[in-house]
Amino acid sequence: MIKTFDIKIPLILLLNLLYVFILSTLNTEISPYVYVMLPAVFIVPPALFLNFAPAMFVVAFSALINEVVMPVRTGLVCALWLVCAYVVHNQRFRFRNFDTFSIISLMLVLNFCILFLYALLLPNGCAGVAEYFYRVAIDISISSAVLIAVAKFTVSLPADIMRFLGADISVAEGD
Amino acid sequence: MAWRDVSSVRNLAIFLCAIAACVLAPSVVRHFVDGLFEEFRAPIDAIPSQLNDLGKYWSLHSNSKRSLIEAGRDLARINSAYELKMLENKNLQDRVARYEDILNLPPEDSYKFEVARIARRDINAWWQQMVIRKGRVHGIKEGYAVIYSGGVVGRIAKANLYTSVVELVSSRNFRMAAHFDGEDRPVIYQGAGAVSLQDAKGEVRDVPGDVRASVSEPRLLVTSALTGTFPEGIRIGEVVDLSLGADGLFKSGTVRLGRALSTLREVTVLIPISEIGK
Repeated sequence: MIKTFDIKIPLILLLNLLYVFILSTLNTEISPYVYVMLPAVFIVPPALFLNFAPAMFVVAFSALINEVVMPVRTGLVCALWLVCAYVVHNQRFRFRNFDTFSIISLMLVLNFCILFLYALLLPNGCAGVAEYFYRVAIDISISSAVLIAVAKFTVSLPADIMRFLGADISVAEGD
Repeated sequence: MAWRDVSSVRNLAIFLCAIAACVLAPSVVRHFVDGLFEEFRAPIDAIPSQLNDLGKYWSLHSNSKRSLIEAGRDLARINSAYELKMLENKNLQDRVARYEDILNLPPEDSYKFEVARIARRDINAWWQQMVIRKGRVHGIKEGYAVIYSGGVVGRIAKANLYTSVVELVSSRNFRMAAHFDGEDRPVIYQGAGAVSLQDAKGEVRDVPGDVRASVSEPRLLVTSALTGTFPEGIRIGEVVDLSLGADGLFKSGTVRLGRALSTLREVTVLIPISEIGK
């Protein structure tokens, strides 16, 4: 599966764990009003920078860790994230130059699709259907606004850290 | 190249600051504001609910005289039925008092019923709670029981000045001693957390092995006085399945809670008489 050790794997894994921590803290404080969900942040960097098997491993691990803090069907969430990671990984060369607009578009579309599927496949208790869709709409809108602010940052952060450590990384060439 | 290095260090610094903020900020902010935010935004929660009440009042105000007369006549009939019930209730209370006097029993702990309207509902994967429009000024404190006509609603998790947060019976954080109707062996009830729309569930554990329940023959689970906050015998839900645990001694199963939980408009907070005035 993973033929050679790649420092990017533990780095992106660690970053994803820290994102889980940041989002959990944020959501613990603000969840009575809105719930920020950013699955794209966990999927796009590994799918762009890592080879196929490590990318799938990191995304699956992140999905399971991410869903531990939220009592929903983790298997389904993990499968959904893996499908999205597969799609992004196959299209990674289109985002080789890390153009800000294309990265934000990619993450927004990915995030919206995942949240929409969450809303359809993983409905959680609510006072009624109307209230549920109102809440989902608010969550998706706020999550998208937050994502626009952090999308480029989260994609460039692994590259920035590697550059700080003295190595340049780019879109994965393997597989 | 130098600019790229500066940008890398800046991004890294921002990220580290974000992590530091997540570690330190929540406790520091809570330490300084300590509920100030909740008090400040309490009117924001209450306004939609109060506007709803006002809307209902004006819609009733526009009713014709004829419909008001009819409603008054219906109310008069209901009132006379309630008057009979009140007489019956008073006789029963007198009888209980006489028995207590004869048997030299201490008076039973009783509760003051504080009816409160629901201002906001947070029923999602993260929280299972609701905000009611009464708080500390009405004598409500943390831990008090909250019920409705169909049984247990939850427990007061936080009492602000004019609002209170109720931890719902379906929440993972809600756990209490209970027993089956008609039995006195205690079992443990816990909320099951987020489930599908309008389908609140809980779990029951430490059920003796001889107790049976199924969808066709559900068993009623009621509160136990062992909890301290809830009076004896208030309905929690129906146990619809029980299976033997890994230890082979006790059973555990699913509790089906009332469907009205997610559509409630009013609840009752039970304030122990002994606590009033403290």
